[in-house]
Amino acid sequence: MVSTRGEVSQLLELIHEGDRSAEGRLFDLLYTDLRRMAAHQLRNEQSGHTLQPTALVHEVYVRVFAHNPPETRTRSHFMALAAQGMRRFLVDHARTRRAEKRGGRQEELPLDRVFTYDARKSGEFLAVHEALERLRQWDPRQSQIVELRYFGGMSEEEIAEYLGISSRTVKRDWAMARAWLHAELSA
Amino acid sequence: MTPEQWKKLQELFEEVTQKPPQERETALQRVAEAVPDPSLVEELRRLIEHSEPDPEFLRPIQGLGAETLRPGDVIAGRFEIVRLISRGGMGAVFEAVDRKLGEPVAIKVIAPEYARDRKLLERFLREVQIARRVSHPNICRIHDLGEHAGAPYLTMELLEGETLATRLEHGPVPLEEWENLARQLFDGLAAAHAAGIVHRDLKPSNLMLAGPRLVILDFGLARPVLNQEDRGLTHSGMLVGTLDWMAPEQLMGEHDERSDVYSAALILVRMLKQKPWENSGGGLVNALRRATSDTDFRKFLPPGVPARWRSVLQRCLEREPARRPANARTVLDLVARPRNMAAVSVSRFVQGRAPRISAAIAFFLALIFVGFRYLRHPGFQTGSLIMVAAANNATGETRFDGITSALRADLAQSSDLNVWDNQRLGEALRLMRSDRASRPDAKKWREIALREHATFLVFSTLSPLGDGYALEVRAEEIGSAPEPVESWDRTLHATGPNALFDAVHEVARWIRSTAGENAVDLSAYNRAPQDITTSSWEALQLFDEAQGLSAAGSDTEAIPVLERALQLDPEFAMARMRLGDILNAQYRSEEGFANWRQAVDLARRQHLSEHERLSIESRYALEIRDFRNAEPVLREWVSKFPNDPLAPRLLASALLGQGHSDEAVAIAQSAQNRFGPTVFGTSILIRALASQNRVAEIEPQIQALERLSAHSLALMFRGMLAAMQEDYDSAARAFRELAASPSAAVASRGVGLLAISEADRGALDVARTILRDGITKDRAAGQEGLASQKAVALAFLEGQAGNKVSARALAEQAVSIGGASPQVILGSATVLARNGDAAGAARLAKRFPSIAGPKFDVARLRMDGEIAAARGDYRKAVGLLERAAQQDRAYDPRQYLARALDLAGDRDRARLDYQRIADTPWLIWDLVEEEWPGTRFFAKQHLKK
Repeated sequence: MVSTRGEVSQLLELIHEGDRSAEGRLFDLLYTDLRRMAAHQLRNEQSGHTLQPTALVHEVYVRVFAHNPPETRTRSHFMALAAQGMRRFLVDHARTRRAEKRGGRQEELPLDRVFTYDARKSGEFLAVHEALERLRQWDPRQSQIVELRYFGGMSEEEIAEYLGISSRTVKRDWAMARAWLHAELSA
Repeated sequence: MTPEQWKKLQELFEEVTQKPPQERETALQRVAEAVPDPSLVEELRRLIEHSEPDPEFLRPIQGLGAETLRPGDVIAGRFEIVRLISRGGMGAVFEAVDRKLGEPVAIKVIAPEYARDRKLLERFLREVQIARRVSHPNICRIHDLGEHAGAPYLTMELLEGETLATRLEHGPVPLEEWENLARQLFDGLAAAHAAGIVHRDLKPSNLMLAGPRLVILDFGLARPVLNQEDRGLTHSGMLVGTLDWMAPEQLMGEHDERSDVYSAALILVRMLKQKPWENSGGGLVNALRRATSDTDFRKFLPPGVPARWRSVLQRCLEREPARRPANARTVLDLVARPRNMAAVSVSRFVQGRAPRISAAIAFFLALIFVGFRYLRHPGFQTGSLIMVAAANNATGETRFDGITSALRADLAQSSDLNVWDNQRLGEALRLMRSDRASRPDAKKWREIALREHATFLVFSTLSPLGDGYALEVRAEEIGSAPEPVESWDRTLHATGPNALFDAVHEVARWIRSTAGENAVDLSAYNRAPQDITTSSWEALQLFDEAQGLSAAGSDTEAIPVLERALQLDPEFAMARMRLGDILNAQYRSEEGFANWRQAVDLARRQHLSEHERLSIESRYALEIRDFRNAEPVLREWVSKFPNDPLAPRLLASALLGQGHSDEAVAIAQSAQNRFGPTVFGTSILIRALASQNRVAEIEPQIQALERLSAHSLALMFRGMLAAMQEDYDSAARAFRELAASPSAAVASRGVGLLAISEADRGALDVARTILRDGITKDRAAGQEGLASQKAVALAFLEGQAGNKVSARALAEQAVSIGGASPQVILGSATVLARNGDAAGAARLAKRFPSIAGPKFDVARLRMDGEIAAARGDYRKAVGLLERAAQQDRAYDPRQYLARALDLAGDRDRARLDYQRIADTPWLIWDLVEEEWPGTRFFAKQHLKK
């Protein structure tokens, strides 16, 4: 059901060797996993309220690497891709919901249970996503840092490792981007 | 916005946000003057305004690893998640079921985000190590530590209840409950303080109310007192703790036991108040106010608070730590003093040679001494527990396997060190949920040492060297982590087997002096290992093997091994004693007592170390119920070896046997506090409390037994406690649960207890049916000894019901099936005598073993008395039975005397005796194995007549 470590490791190796298409394939793989796991968890009455987006990312990670944690670089790369996947998943979902509400359709994705649990996030992440798209036009790195941290739950150190910059720079960029996003979102 | 504009904006943003908030406006204005683009300045102003958003803003969408756990998930292949209990700073706590043991546990999983944070992780690990060092009913018990998907987890005792913080939302705590909780809080703290641990973050949300029990949680902030190496964890001056409950000195980054005393007292005052008494203004303002001005907290206490608590609490809340009680134990002593002087004098007695000094000098000395000692070696203190790991014998000569026993016996002479009793190995491995059959490796030994709070661990290897042997020894000091704090190595050469004893002795002396034992004690207790054990290595090896078998639960197999050891050296006193122990536990009392008797003789002939001699003499005296002679031997043991945890417990038991229950309670209690609860110590304490009918204090002790995994024993006491309060339904539930035990012996005892409890409520027919079924089951399970005990009980009930024939038949049957233990002979002879067969009784009495000692003298007098009564000679009967009663243990119902007095026409005295039985429910439960059903019920019936 879920991608195996072998598959994932192979793709990660290809990525390290500079194969850009491997990154795309790994992303697709992870994204499929995320969707499948989300759907599975949401069908399960019991777990409805304990599911949270980043938890899914972690779960994908744990399922792939449970018995054999990868080295830091691989891990951060994996997490970054998962963060992107999560972001796309959430945005897709939020858009579907919005369309459903307009069109009066309710059946397909009962995902709102996930997001209403963390009420703070439910309205926030679509707005964050849209603001990040704008920020990307003049500072793609800051936009990516927010993505990794907010959607992927990565730490400053991991982000620094992944982007090949210092933690201090990550901190500075984060402070600036956060102020801007807060200003935008509260406008 | 262009990338260039944004870059410029970021520069300005950083420049302004670096300034303290009050200077930012000025900085902004300076920027406005220097930068020509007003829209850029406007944007900057907007960003500055939003530069410190709510910390929740953009916090990563929570991804606690713990939250990926759902009901049904299984951690580490054995803990099945049931539900989420709470989510806190570092992770989440779940309820889970341990599939391996079928027990519910709480499991705390640290969030992966934090698992990557080394400092936090260290703190988490510390919590585990520290909490493991303390075992107390009022401290949350930690079981295991492991890792799941890269995140550490720990399993703990599952507590049902609410935190004190939640509880206080619904108003103050009623006074009756308050005093009980206050005691528990200080009791738990006292145990932590005794282990050298300060909590540092006591607050209502860290105190769990599980039914009547208060449990201190979260030792995550706790750390050993004055441990220099820990300084790195929290920088000095850094605030640790929660401001609302913090002691004044904690504001300066200082803390010790007295800070906990302060916080605990503050919490206790708050528990009685409707609302917090302090003004709003935040924790820091209030903490500063408390630190800078004196408050009379007594005015916050409602009028019903006992005077002793009022003054003690006020003292606990002194601003100056030096003016507060030194630790939680002192608080409890202060509260108890006016009521119970015994406790104080006894604690002094148990602590042995410590001189009495004034509190101020004690404080001063403690500063110097503790500081000095910790600078030298944190672990060195008298009473240190030393553990001798099984030696690695690489010589190929199996006879040297006994070297471990030789070294243990030699070290056990020390008055400073406690040598860990290897009998506890099986128990320790079981508690650690480890395989008991396999031999522990070095890592496992260190884990056991950590868990058992040992200070030293000794490893040894014996290998051939030239014509002789090399004995390599490594002594490790165990701190609070699995890695040893320090270690010392030594290698000795021995030219042959005899010289090897000298090498062992040399090693023992070296370890004792390394551990800080003084020269006087070293030479006072300095017998060579071959003198205190045996000079035959072969016998020693067999002894070692028997110990191993016994620790693994195979007592029966240990018997022939010990017998072979004794053939090699008949004067091997330790082996004699051990054989006596095992034989008696197997109901082979005549042989058992004979071996004990010989062991005592050998001990008196100085074939043993002083420690072993005192142990053997006193234990033998206790077994034959010679309490009066046991007491001085035990007092000698306690005073010569004040660090031995067993001696005060045995002393308590000797005092109980003589009816000195006040002192017994005090000593048992103080041993629990000093050495931590053990199964034996807790059982003694329960017996002592029960003898004083202090029912309310027993429940926490039963819980302590449960924590020690002594579930059957806990169940037994729980049933007794219920029956004592005439809640027979609860008693029956507990005993039935015991009766359902997979262990035939435990189940059989459950049946016996159930019969006694049913008879006590007057359900005699029910009791008879239970016993009849129990006999069948026991015999089917091969438990003949227990079957014969039940047959006696049933015979007694049949006799009471007037069925003389079946009573006699059962009595005869009891003797024939059970190998006729002294107890069964006494019972059967009594039943025969009371049911018209005086001759049969006399015949049986002749079969009674000729063992000396009050226990057997009482039995013989009782049989003679019953026979005299059966022959109509009531005066003689009363005379004999009075003599029996005089020698009998204090908490025996002695209904035999009441009956004889009644027969002899002395109604008044009979009434008094029956009254005593009816009024003292504990009597029938104290040594319930020897009790016949219905003793109290019949006494009550008699009184009604």
